[in-house]
Amino acid sequence: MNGFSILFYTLASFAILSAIGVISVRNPLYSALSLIVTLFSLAGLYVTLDAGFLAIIQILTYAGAILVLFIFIIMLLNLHEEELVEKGYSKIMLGLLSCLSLLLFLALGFILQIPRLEFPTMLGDFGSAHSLARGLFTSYVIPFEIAGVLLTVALVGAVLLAKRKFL
Amino acid sequence: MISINHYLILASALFVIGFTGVILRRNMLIIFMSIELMLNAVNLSFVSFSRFLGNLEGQLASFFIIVLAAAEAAVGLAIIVLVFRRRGSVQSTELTQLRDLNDVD
Repeated sequence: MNGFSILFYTLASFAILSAIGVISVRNPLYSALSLIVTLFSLAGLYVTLDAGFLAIIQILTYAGAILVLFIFIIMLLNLHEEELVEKGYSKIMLGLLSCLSLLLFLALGFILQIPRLEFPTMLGDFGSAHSLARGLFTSYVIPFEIAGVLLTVALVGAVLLAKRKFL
Repeated sequence: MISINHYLILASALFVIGFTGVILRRNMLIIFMSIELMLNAVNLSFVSFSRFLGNLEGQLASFFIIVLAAAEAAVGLAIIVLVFRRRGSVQSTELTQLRDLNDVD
């Protein structure tokens, strides 16, 4: 058990526990706060995978933009306690069973084969902003531009939807 | 030593937790957050494969997924606000306008 394993298991358990918190608490505000913990621990895992720039982007966009949007909407809607009670749990066992079978299906690949594939040692600027930008602005420049158009369209659409009085 | 299998098992566990949230919860805000959780699990597997293969294209793919998640959250939350204005509730069980009335259980 070296330092890297301890780091991985700490971040992984934080991610799993807070993800369970996201789907199990009643108040959406608490589940948004729990989601922030998940996203931060995932950013830490990206750092362990030599993706430091992606980790920064993860924190900036998810915790800085998307989650702020979520919390803003939750506070704007200002749901009362009786609106948070969820009805229709009649098929809860069926749902849990299907989720467990999906987990088993996903884990089966690891259970059956298990050659543990170690990571190769990486050198230099793997995952730095410089090397990522070289890929993004040369071979992936058209998807990059399309992503910009997509963001513009999404924001215009969101404003248009929210401005409308009747729909 | 930590291998790629550890990361992939973590990613599939996070994906299944998000999937469980989508299946079981009725609050549309929490369903959206579960979808974000699933997208992040896929991102984690992309990044770990990128590290494993020494190829940066996985990290670039997860950049595009983050962009997509931002766009999806903006439009989805606008739709939730509209539904709340019209129905006064964010429960997904309230949205039954397209349901066949002969199929009430």
